[in-house]
Amino acid sequence: MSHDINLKELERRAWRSVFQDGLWDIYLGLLLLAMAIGALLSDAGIASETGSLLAHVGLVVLATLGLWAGKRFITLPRLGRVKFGSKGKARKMKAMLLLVFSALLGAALFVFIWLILRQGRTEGLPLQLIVPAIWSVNALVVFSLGAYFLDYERLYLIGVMYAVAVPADRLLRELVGLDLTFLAFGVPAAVILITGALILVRFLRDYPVPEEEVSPAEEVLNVRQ
Amino acid sequence: MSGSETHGDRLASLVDIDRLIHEPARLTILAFLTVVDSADFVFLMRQTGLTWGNLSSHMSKLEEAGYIQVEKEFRGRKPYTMLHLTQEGRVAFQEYRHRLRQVLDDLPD
Repeated sequence: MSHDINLKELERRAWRSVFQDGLWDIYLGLLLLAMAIGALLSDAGIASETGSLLAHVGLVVLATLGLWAGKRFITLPRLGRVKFGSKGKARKMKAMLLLVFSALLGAALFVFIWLILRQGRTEGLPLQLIVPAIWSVNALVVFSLGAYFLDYERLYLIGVMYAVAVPADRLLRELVGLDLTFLAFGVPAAVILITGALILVRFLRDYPVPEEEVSPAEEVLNVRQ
Repeated sequence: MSGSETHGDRLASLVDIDRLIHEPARLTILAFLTVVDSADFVFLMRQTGLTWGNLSSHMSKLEEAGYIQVEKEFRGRKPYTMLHLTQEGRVAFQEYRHRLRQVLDDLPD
């Protein structure tokens, strides 16, 4: 036995167990894939701009439902339930604030660029560089801060995959002369999805559903009643 | 204070250590319950690496001592059992850590 019990390490282990099922990786991969599919529908002329936007929103809703169902029916029976104290709540709050800030920043930049385009003040502005740069920096900052605050290291990789999507799209357009947005978003999405799927398979192998038994806690309750 | 008295005090500290907590499996359970608000049986089984039967037996002893509390909660219609450390258990665990650290620090190399 060690000289003292490392409670911080135990707390970290308990906290990190939340992400060991790979479901968040798959969810974030699906969000990027939804962008790729939306772009494909629009670029291939399968759907109008509005139609592809609706398809994108629909896929995001499906991915969110999938995450909820996965946590409910795959993770909880295998890993059990845990409620974290004030530290865990503070971590979640920081991450939530970060996401809200990122969304507001992204919306503000989007409106700013839209206003510039609308007023036709694009002369001398390298928009083909500014837009990918803003996207990449935003993705890297948000996912890195998320990785740090949530102690969820794979978010660094996911951040890089998100960050390369728009610059890759621009680069492919310049090099090949074709609109390959689907590939530019689809390949990084596939990397995240494959990583998540492998982690999920390992999780399912390592954590089978425990056999149904009456827990001693329930027995104690029954005896008391 | 003479050397023999100090030695006697150290031995007394060691003898006074809470033996219910000193058992490695129960110590691990209490340590996990110290760092979370509450957890269910499956979560503790996964985190501690104990078998269902082993965990049951240790949980019952800790529950009898008043160190942990068992609460039944509902999610929808499905009940599940959450376990958390009582104030008594938290104090006992802190006292145990303090005593053990003191005894080990006082031991000669």
